Amino acid sequence: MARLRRQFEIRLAGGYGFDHLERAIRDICPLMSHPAGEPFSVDLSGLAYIGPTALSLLVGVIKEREEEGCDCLIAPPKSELTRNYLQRMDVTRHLFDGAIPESFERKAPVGFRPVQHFRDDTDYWVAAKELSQALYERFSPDEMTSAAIRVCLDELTENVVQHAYTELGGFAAAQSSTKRKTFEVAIVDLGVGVRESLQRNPEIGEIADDTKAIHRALMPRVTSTPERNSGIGLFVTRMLLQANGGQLLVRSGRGAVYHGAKKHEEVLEASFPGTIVAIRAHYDRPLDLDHVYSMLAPETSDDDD
Amino acid sequence: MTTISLAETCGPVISGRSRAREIREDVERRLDAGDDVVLDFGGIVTMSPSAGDEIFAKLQREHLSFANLSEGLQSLENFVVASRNSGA
Repeated sequence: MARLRRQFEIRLAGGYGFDHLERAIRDICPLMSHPAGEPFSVDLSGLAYIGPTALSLLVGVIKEREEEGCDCLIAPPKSELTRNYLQRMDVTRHLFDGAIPESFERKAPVGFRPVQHFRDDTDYWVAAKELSQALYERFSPDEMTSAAIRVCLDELTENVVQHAYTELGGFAAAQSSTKRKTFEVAIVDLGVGVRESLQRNPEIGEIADDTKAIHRALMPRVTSTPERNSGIGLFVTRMLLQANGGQLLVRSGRGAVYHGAKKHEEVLEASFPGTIVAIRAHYDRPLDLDHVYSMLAPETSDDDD
Repeated sequence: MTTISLAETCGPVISGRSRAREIREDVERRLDAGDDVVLDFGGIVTMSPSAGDEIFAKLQREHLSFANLSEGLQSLENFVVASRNSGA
């Protein structure tokens, strides 16, 4: 194994699950300030677990630096279990110009799909389809649940293409837990963030901070591009998860808003340039879009609080 | 009059704005050519909000009607049409 040179390094150790996003941001995002063209290393030797949200973030940030001409060296996890998981998730698919190091060579598993990287209208649809399929293989949802999963993935990935204003595009991953009977989906972009995106719509005007911006984005009919978009994708996702008992997290800039079992918001010290949307839902409870749509009335505004 | 079975075109779920845009553009071509069009939603389990915006809200035309809309999709139709018409 190549020795890690003394160079800029980020190190991930322990677990990075759905509830550990801030730690993932703290440990991964310093890489974004790394100078273009300079090599860096990512030490995963102590990594025990990384969920779809942190994984999408990691791949996205590494890819962003690679596109700035930085060479990357990744030390794989010591844990065989973790290494196998990263292989199944094909974590290095988008990195290393396609030349996958032996330690990350992927065996073909059922129910796992690589972290998806998408940049345009065709890509996002394929990404949503792939991730939906991965989830279907794991827990065989009924027709309505399958439909809801696919619709949410389409809406959330399309949001990146329409509203993030980044040529890098977005990164998405999905995973389920048969133990907890839940699934988790994450969509990450390193674009302009929710506040700046919304403020491109002159009818929206000034928004005081990132948390307020996220709240606005979660309301119906709020979009940066009203001539093109309806602004209800994120709102419908929120309502769907509320009815399911699941959770929705939107993180952008210094804001974070959680909807679901524990609804709260935070203004955070660490600013995240871009947007992370993560959902965690119960696959043994209804995910019924028809029911959510039936609750929409033409005059619906944000009335859930 | 032309009846288009959306389930035969798209499967049970209409999802993705780009896919719905293709449907809308096809319908617009037929309407512009003087045809009456019925979009049949029989067999459609659901659709995405973006697809609803493309097919219901952006496609408010005479000589176009919808058949076999579920209660939920009727509600979605009302919502997106009202949104677009109000300029919200």
